[in-house]
Amino acid sequence: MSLSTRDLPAHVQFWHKLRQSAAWDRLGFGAWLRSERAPSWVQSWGQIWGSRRHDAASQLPLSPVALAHRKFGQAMIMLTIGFAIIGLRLMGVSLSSPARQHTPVVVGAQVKRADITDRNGVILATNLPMEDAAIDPRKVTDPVQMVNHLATIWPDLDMVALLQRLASSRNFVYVKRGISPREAQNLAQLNLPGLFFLREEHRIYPHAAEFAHILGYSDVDNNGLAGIERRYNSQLQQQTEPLHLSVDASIQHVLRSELLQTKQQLNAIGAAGLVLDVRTGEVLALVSLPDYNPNDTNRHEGDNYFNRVSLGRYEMGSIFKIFTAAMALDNGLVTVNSMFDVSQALVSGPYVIHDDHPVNRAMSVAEIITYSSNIGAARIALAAGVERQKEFLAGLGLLSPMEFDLPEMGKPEYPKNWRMINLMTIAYGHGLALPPVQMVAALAAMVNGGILIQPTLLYRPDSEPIAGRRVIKSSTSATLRQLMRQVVTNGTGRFSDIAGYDIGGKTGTAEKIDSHHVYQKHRLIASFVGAFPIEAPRYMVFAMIDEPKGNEFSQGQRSAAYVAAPLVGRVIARIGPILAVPASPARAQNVRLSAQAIAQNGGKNAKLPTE
Amino acid sequence: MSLVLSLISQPSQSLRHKLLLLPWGLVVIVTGLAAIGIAMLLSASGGNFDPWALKQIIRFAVGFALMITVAVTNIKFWLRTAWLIYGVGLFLLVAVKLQGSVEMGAQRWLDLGIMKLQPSELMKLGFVLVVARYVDSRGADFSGRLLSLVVPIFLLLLPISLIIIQPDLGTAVIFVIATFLLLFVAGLSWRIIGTLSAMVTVAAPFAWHFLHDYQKERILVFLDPSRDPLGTGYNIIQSKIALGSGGLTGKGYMLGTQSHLNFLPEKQTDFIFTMLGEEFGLLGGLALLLIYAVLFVYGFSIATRAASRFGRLVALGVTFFLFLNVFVNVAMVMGMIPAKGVPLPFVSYGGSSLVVMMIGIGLMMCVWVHKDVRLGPGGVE
Repeated sequence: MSLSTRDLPAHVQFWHKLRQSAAWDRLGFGAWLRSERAPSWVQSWGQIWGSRRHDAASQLPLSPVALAHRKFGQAMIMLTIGFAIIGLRLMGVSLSSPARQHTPVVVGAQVKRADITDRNGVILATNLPMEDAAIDPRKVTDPVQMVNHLATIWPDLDMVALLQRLASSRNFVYVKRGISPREAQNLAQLNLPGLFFLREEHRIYPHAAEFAHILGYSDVDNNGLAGIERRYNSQLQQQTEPLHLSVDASIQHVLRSELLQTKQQLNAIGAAGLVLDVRTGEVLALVSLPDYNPNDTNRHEGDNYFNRVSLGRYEMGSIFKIFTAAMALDNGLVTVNSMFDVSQALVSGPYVIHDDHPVNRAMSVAEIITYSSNIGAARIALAAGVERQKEFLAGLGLLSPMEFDLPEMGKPEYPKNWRMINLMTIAYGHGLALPPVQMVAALAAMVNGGILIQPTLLYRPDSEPIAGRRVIKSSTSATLRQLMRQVVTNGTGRFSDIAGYDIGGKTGTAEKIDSHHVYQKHRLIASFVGAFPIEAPRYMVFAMIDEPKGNEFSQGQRSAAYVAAPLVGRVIARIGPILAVPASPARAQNVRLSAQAIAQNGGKNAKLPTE
Repeated sequence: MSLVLSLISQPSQSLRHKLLLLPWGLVVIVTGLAAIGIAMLLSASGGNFDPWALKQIIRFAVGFALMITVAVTNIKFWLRTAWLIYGVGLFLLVAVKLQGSVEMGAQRWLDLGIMKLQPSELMKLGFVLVVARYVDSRGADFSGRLLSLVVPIFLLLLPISLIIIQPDLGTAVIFVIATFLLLFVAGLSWRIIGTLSAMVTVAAPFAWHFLHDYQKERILVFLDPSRDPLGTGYNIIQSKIALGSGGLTGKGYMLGTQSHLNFLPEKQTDFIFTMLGEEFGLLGGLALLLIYAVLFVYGFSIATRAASRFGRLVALGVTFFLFLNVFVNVAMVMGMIPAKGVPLPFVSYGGSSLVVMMIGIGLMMCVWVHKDVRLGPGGVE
């Protein structure tokens, strides 16, 4: 195709001039460009760029091929524009560093959460302003360098984990939460791109593990996840007044330290304890071991979070004989002097009930409680019958879930089909499993004159009327107090007896059930409940040791008499003075001495006065 | 098979002659691109041939053999089998819908046992061949008439409706744009293109209802990236950071921290260009684009030199699909258009894309080898 250069568009003229220019000749390319020796694609450019709708020279329409070539040129221009766009964009993206200009940002986000105090105003949970260090991975130019920087400041930083989190699809990654404002200030001066800080209130538990199972804990976002923190979460988030609990930090400390010591000495898997005001239902102390530090909830095993007082359900053993006696006495079926034959083991179908220390005679109701005879308790229950027993226990609220201030609350478990054998075994505390706190609440009614009061972890001002329900006669309660006092003076509770206070109590040694529903002789729950002063009880102390091992600390024994009773005695000796409970009249002079002796000797059994 | 043999062995050009005629520069460019891809795959796996590089080498060898075979096959064979290939492509698209293995949330792959085939890739070639053949058969009356678009648009709607329901919006859009470009170079006037664009604009709101939620979300996120900085937007943000951290000259081969620390998702497929940009910088990225540009220039040159309209349109059709794949992929990793699974031709990991694109180059070379063969009514001028 021949073209005249006149009247051609400027760019085509330029192309022609370029092809014809002397510069190419001087470089030796001119002839080549115009010759047939040039690659065909070089020749074809002239056709593409030189084509027009009309042949400039002839004014005739272009051939279809020439028209097609013209379209090719236009298509090429489109493609070139497309490539130019992405090329320019590539330059823009490659040469701009998104994080070069960077200032650390502190985002002020405050989450208010009310404090929690004990009954005397001691702070149990509060908030401290702290900073959370966080990273926006999008702004991080060099993650490896950043992680290296941070590792020099926090040597225990898990670098690999952080790198992985930086690589995950987020725009927000916490590095470390709860650092001090000073630490944050120092970090901010490093000027690391992408690193910023959030100011937040962090929940602090100054007593660490001491109140773990009462308070529970809240997560880093100040949401209550367990215990009081969870149960009263919305209240704590909304109110500014501290939440006033019924617990007493001093009492809690005594109970926990005694339980810890016994648990360690007897190599037990767990322990639990409760101190209850039997007149108001207020819980003064609640301990479940093992426990955890709510300031650092990541470092503990699952069992540490298990509340044995409220969530755990146990067959409580012989402590239940108090209920059996109460039922029979209150219904007028027996008096304390009614005699029951306990010389023969009791046979009911395939089951045989016998006593640990059989006696070959009849026993009074008083003796059955004092020496804790299973056969005797079963015979008392037989005198009452299934319906009466069910009715009585239901009246104490032991057959239905109890309302409590902890979300961790177990439900009682008992046989659907309440047969004769259940009647007899429940009489001495086997066959009905329930949370210890529920049983202690009912026991309080046995000694406080017969009024069942809902236990609580919240402070009850003196002015507040206490809602209660009569479950036994006042006279029955008085009789039970005498029986419980006899347990401590003459019976299985002897090791709980201390100078200063007249304690009334009851031991309970229950065999644990294995996964095949078989009772295990050597895996025991040893517990003791003691009320003091027994003539007009104010407080009830409950302690339970889960699977104690008999050793030199318990005279080789693992039963409640040797394990739990002395523990409760020591606790009462220490908390009585703190609670300003007047000593029992005849023993007043010994109170101070007793408490001192226990403190000095670390509470070993041998130093306890026994009768 | 006998048809194939008879076509290959047609006496007009001997096999040896055809091999000599092959545009070996094109072969060098394709091999170079594949080598860059394999090198990047090596880097992506930290210098190991597993899991990507070795497989990619094997696929390249298969693709290479197919490319040369296609190139030396008589172009008349491709003209005659155009409808057959298009039909097979359609059949496979239906098959993948019926029994395709679901990968990455979309039914795009058909498991052939030895390799997984993505029928939409094969369809690109079938579509180019069938459009070229149709336009060729219409001769001179094709251009400038709205009615002459009915068949090509019907030919387009069949595969892209199947592709959209896979769902693979990116490939469908590439098909539409490639069709427009192809019809444009076939002689379609600007006026008709304008009319069609207006129709598409009007139809778009109705099409919106047929999109999957994730596709709607992608478009919305594209229009407003702050909608979803953690999800769909994350890939793009990471990709831009990686490109930006590469700077002018890059961090060096196998030293790209963003990609090696897995900040970069899909670095062996969709985002392989980002990894190249991080390790070789702006210069590396521009160099790769330049190689592609040379490849496209080859495509145009071959089209210009082809005597037959069929040959011209096949060469340009393949060029357009290649160009759109490159454009969409690179624009995607830079956050210019919504993210989608469009591979970078010859470089991204993936058997279907590599082999089919190499067959496409084979077709382009076939047009070159047979550039003086005149075909049908439209080819004689």
